[in-house]
Amino acid sequence: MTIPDYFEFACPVKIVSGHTALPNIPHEMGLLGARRALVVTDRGVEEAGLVKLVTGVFAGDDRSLGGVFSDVPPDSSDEVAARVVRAYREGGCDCLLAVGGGSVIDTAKAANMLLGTGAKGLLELQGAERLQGRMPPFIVVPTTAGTGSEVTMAAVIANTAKRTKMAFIAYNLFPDVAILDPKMTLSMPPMITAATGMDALTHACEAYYCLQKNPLSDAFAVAAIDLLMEHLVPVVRDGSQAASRLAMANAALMAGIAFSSSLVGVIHALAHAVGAVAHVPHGVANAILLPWGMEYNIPKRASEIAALAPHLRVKSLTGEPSRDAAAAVQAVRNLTSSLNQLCGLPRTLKQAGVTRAQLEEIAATAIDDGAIAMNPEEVDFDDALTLLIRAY
Amino acid sequence: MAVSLDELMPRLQHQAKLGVARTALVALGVGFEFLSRHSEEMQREIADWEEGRTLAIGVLPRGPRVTIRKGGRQLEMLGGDAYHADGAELKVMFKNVDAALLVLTGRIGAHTAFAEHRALVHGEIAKAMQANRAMAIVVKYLFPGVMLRSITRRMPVFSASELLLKARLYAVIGPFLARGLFK
Ligand SMILES: NC(=O)c1ccc[n+]([C@@H]2O[C@H](COP(=O)([O-])OP(=O)(O)OC[C@H]3O[C@@H](n4cnc5c(N)ncnc54)[C@H](O)[C@@H]3O)[C@@H](O)[C@H]2O)c1
Ligand SMILES: [Fe+2]
Repeated sequence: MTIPDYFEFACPVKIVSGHTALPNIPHEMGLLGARRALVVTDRGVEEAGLVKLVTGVFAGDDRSLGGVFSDVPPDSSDEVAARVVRAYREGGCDCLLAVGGGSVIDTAKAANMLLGTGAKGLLELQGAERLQGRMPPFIVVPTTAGTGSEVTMAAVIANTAKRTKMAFIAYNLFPDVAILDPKMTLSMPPMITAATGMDALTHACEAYYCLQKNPLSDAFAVAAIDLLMEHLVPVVRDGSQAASRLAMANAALMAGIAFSSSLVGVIHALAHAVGAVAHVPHGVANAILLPWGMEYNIPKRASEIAALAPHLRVKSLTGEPSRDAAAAVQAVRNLTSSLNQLCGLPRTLKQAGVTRAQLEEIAATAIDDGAIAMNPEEVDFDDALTLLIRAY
Repeated sequence: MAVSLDELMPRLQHQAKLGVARTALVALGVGFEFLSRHSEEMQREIADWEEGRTLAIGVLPRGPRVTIRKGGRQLEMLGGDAYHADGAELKVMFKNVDAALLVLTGRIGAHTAFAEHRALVHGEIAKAMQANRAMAIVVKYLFPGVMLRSITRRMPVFSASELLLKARLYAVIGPFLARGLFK
C-alpha cells in the first residue's frame, strides 16, 4: 500500500452505539455544557413514533427539550433552516438534537451554521472550509442507516429564492455526538432500508478508490463493506432484528467516516443531479449508478476496485486486476438485483421515473457537482451523458 | 536588533516563493484573458457565465491574488490587489504559499489540490467547478506536455490551430509576466 503524498483525516465525533444508547442523550448534553435541546425531525420520523422515544429519555432529568421542530421536508431549504433557528431561539435552547435521516441532519447542520456564525443567510457561508469558529452543541440520532451525515463535514441544502443547491464543506460542521440506537431504525420500511443501505455502500466503494483515498479512510471503507454485505439483504428481508439494525447503523457510520475524508466521485455527482432534476431519492439513484460508476473507473483504478472484490463476496479471484474489478462490479449488480426482487428497489433510471429527455440536464448539472473533481477518471459532459444512458 | 541568518533565510525563501506565486498568478490571469478571446473551447466554457461574474485565485493569509471578471463575452484580469479579490463572488484561496506553488508550478492538478484540501472555496461550489474547468483549459495551454501528462486526468489533445494558439500565448505572456513582476 502506498501512502498518499498528502492527506487530511478527521472524525471528531463521539460515537455512542448500542441497544441502550438513547438514554445517554441528556448526559452527553451535559458533557457539552448544554441544558436545553431543540429536536429537529420530520413528519415520517415523528409518525413512526421515534420522537416519543427521544422525548421519553428526558423524564426526571435536569436537562430538557425546548421544542420539537418536525417540519423538515425531503428537499430541505435555507428557509426551513431559518425556521429551525427561530424555534431554537424561541425555545431558549442551547443545543440541537437532530433525529432523522440525511434530510433532517443536513437541515440541522445548516441551522447550526447560522447559529454559530451569526450569518444572515446561508448563501454567504457556501463553499469549502471557509467556516470559522465553534458551532453550538450538536447531537445527532440517525434514523436511517445510509448517509453517514452524523459523521461527515458536509451538508447540502436548497436555496429557495435562487432555486439552487448550496453545498457546505467544513471541519466545524461535524456534529459533536452521534447516538446509534437500533430502536431508531427498526421502523424503516424495506425500500428505504435498501436505498439508504446502498447509499452507504456507495460511500464506502467510492471512498476506497477516489482521489483522496488514504489508509484511514480505506480501513473504515472496507469494514463498512464487510458489514453491509453481511446485513443489508437480511435486514431488508426482515427489518425486525435489532442486532442487524445496529450493524447497519455502524456500517453507514463507518462509510460516512471513510467518505468524509476521501470524498466521493462520479456516482455521487450523478446521483445528486438525478435527485435535483428528477427527484429520485438519493439512495435509489446511488444504487442504480454504483455499478456503472465503478466500471467507468476500472481503467484508472483496477487494482483498488479489484481489492474490493473479496469484500463484495466475490468467491473466485483471478489475481488479474481488471478481471477481478469486473467481478466486483458484477457482485454489486447481483446485490441490487436481489434487493430489486425483495423490495422493488429500481435498477434503472427509467424504473426510478427519470425521463429520457431529462438526461442532458442531469449530465449538465452533474459536471458542476463538487464530487466530479474527486473522481479518478476525467468526466466531461459527454462522459456523464454516456453513463446516464447506460444506467437508463 | 540584529537578525541572524537562521531567521533571515526562511523569510527570504518565503518572499521568493511569494514572488513565484505572484508571477504564476499573473500568467494564469493573462491566460484566462487571452484564451477567452482566441480559444473556442474557452468561449464555449464561459458562455453561460453571467455578465460581471468575478473569480479570485490567491494565497492566504495575505499573499498575491489575481481577479478575473466576465465582461461582454470575454474575461478580463482585474489585477492582483486585495481590493478586487475581496469583493469577488467566488474565491479560491490556497491555504499557504507552498500549497499554491504545487498547483501554480504544475506539480499537482487543480482537482488534486481540491481533493487534498489545499484551498478554501468561498462561494458556490457549482461555480467553482465551472471555474475549475476553465482553469483546466488555461493550464492546457500554459504548461508543456510533459507536465500535463502528470497533472491531468486525461491528456489533452491539441489540434494544429490549438498548438499555434499555445505558441501565441507563450509569445504574449513574456511581457505581461515582466510587467506583473515589477508592478
Ligand atoms: N451530509 C452528508 O454527508 C450527506 C451524505 C449523503 C446524503 N445526504 C443527504 O441526505 C438526504 C437523504 O437522506 P436519507 O437517505 O437518510 O433519507 P431522508 O432523511 O430523506 O428520509 C427518507 C424518508 O424516510 C423516513 N424515515 C427516516 N427514518 C425513518 C424510520 N426510522 N422509520 C420510518 N421512516 C423513516 C423519513 O421521514 C423520510 O420520509 C439527501 O438530501 C442527501 O443529499 C447527506
Ligand atoms: Fe450519499
